[in-house]
Amino acid sequence: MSSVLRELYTALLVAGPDDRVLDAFVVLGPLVVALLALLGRGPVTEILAAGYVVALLAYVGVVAVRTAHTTSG
Amino acid sequence: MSTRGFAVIGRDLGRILQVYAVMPAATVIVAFVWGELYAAPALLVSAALPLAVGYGLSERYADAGEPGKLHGMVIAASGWFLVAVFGSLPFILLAATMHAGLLGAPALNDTVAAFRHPLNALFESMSGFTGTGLTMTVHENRLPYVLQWWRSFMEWVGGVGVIVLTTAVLARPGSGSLTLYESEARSEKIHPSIVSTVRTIWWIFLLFTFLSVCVLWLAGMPIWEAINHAMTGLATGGFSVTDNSIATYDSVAIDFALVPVMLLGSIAFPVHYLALQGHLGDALDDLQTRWVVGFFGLGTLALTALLYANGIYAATGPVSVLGVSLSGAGATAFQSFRYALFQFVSAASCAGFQTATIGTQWSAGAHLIVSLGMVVGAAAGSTAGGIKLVRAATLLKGAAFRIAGVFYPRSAVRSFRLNDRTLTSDELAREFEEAAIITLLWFVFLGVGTAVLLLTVDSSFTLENVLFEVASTQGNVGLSAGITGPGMPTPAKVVFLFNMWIGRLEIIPVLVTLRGLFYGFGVRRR
Repeated sequence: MSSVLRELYTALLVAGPDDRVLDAFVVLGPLVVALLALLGRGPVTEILAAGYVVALLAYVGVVAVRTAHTTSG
Repeated sequence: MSTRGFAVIGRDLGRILQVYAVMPAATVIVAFVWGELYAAPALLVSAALPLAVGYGLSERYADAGEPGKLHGMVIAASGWFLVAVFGSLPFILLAATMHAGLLGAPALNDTVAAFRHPLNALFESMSGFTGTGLTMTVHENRLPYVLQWWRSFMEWVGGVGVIVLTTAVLARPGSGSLTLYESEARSEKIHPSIVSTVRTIWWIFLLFTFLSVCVLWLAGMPIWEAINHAMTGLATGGFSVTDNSIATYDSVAIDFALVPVMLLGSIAFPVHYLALQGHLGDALDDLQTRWVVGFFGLGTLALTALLYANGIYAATGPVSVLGVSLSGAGATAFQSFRYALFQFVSAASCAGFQTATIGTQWSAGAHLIVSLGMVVGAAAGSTAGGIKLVRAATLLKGAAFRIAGVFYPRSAVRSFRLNDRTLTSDELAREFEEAAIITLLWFVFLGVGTAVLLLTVDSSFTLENVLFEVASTQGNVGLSAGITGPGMPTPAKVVFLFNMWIGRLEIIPVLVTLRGLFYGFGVRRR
């Protein structure tokens, strides 16, 4: 079982846009959803879910700005 | 077709079935989580059967060669059909388990009892895998959790594609993967390698699924419902776990939270990849993405205006939006916009979630606008169905190009630009022909479905109801005017099965397979 999980983890890291931060969002995703399911709705879980969404969107925005600067420069 | 041809098809169908078998097997986890252990044997049998057939086929024809174009189309069409057939087993076996009261199963209710009829189970499975979302389920909230999950899981996998899943898992080298990939109505490549492309598609899909779950949960959905609706919304499938689709919540926040989820599903994966790499400008420059935004925007505005003019939401009481209370014309305008936005995006993205009672409440004009959204669909290379915007763009721009050509001298050298590509006359002719053939066939089968329905369903349904339902079926949308259900006549169910199947594979592979069955699969030499 652990070798299957290791293979899945490796496949996840190899796929995608070759960005370790985005890979982390994919790997942490199931953990966040599991915590929301186990702990239920409350201030902590709401901050967790909102944090995941805001952090992901903010990161994509930052990468876009950085890429635009690199391209125009 | 030669023995070699059958061997290639048999081997690849075997592989598809082996990968598919993981799905019901993995669903056993859901049975454990929800304490529905009585469902475990049904799921294990549903996994063991395709695994055995798949293993037998792939071992028997292990030495078969690479698939050609004809093989690819037959594999895609028959593979999707077989997966739908095996996908019906969890419904049938679980209904049988509950009927017999085996393993401490709860008493059979009317909703699950519908799946004792194999045709209903096959309909549900085909609807799930093709991402249609029309259902034989009367009360979704009365389904066991295992079946709620199974419906969502089918749509989630089907949204990206059964063959894409097989290619991602088996990672076979050579040209065979590309042939199969293209036979499943996909052509876009993110990386030079097709295996890397499909793995990246799944990576993006996973990331967006987690994001969508969080967004829907924050909007107020319970976590189980958020997980299921995120999966079916992103896959633009539209199955729900609630009794009245998204209308159950009657929540402005949830309506508006689902719109971006469906939009994500309507945009091609290579565009998502560009955006995630930081090339947001390039992503927005994509012709199809601009058309998606424009088409969804125009459709929403037209529908809002019509709903407002028809006064459908005029009797609405005060509405609170972000702490501001709206009443009178303001409330009517807001509600018209809210329902128009949700329903048009739901139709054109082919998700099929419903917040409005379209069949009985909306006017014929509103039906027509929503039907237009369902027929055209969204971007090719996304999870959406319909004819696809790029084909509509090719037909419109190509027709304009031909008409304008009359005003030029014969010797004039003209170029045709489509999505940042300059096409030669031959390329334009090829693209135009492909778009025209698929569009023509789309309307031919829309007519066939409409004729069968008009002859078989209750006469209280109007022509616009019937057209709406058939367009929804063939576009793999799932919005319903109220015709589809377990009580629907058998011929109508059969023709809908066919409409869903051809709609998902963009018609040609299914017709090639059927022609082969009737006239043989031999390749003509002249």
